[in-house]
Amino acid sequence: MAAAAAEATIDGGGKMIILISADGKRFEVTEAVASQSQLISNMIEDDCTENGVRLPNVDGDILTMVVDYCNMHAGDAAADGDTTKASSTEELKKFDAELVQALENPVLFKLILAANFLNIKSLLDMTCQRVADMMSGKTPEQMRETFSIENDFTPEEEAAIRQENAWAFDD
Amino acid sequence: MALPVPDDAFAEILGRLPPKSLAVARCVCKPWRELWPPSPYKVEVFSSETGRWVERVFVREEGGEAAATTTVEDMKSWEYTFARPRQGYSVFWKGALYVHSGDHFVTRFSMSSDKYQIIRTPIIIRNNKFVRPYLGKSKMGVSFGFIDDYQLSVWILKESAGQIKWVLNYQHDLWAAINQIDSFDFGVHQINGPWVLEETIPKYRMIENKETLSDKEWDSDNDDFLDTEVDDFLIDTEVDDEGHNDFAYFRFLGFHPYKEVIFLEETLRTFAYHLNSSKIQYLGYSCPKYCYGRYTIHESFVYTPGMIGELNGHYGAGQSSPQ
Repeated sequence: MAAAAAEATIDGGGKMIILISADGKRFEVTEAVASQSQLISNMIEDDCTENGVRLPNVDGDILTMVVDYCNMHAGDAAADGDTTKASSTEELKKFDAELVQALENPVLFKLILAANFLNIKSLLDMTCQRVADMMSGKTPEQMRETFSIENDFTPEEEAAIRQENAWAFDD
Repeated sequence: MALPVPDDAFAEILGRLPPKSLAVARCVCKPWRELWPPSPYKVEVFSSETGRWVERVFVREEGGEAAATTTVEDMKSWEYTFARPRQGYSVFWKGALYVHSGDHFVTRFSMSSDKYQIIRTPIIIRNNKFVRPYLGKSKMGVSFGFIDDYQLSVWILKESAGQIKWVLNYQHDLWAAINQIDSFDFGVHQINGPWVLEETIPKYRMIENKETLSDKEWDSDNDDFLDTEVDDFLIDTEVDDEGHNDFAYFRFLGFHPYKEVIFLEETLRTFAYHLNSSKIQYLGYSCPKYCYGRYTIHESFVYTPGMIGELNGHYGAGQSSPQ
């Protein structure tokens, strides 16, 4: 199926699919682009994309980013042994880095939700890694501040859990 | 849920954190404390059927050690410290993979039910920072060996009626054995065991002992032990260049796969220790030529030839050897 999708891209043709966001925005993409989402790929296989794919969990602005991402990465599946794609690898990396770096937390989390729902592994990897990078090396207080998390431990509970993980605090 | 993302996505995030940050994250708020170890837990598993690494998903088995008592270090390998193995020892036994990452938990992955379970090690190792435990497979099954202050303990994991627990199987004082070897003249840097020392990757100072098919093969049934006469004991505490008292100190190398024998190492000299008779046999000096000075063996596992026929006799079908 991946091979068929790749063919469609290279030919510039291929069947088009309409994606419809929660707020009713419509995106027209090729099957090759859309099938990076495992969810949609399965729907294509099951032949149920005729009337457009409704994505009630994904807002238009987030879907715009997802479609941009998928358009940029549509060549990935075909890249095996295809040297013409090699030149754009750097470009892709730059695109990815800029995409996640620029995001405000709420948008980043919405993008994770979308990537998780649509099952786009590379996008999920990238966004989760971004959050992990934001957490790494921080104290619990800094993590709470970064993600606006309320400390729901009682002082005794907090002392206990810190004791349990004491090895992580001594430097 | 403290972050507006689904639990499985959050577990994905936590799984990408270095162990320290993961432990710190558990101290942020209650929901974060509960999310590790995750369920389902994704693990890369090598399939010998397909010859490929595949991602398998394991669900935490209810009724095991409660998540609340679980800390993170069981699920992620520790950074190297002197006392712990640099890699987790693991054992495959009766359809389940047991992984010990170097601290006080063993994770049991059941291949048939796609479930995982956390089992506490029989002792809390953190209190004994300079001793290294060994998880391996003996003829009794999943075994846990530990030597602290010359006291050897071996536990066996017993599973019955859905209950898993460690049973202390052996407890021996190795003091007599230490005295035996101290009185023994080993010669200097002599490889006189039934093994061949294969110095394959000098760059990495890798020690690889592989037993080859030979007439001199070590026979664990043979009574060729060191002299055990008490009168002959000569407690010889040698003093090294730095003036340290270099007293004998055993480390665990492995369990014999089908005999009640364990393999020990003491300053790179390798021994077989018979649990039933408490007798010790010298197997050889296992220091590669390029190893100047004294190094210890960082990891070991028992080499068990598995495909004797297919290998056309290149490897011996006999005993296993610590590697």
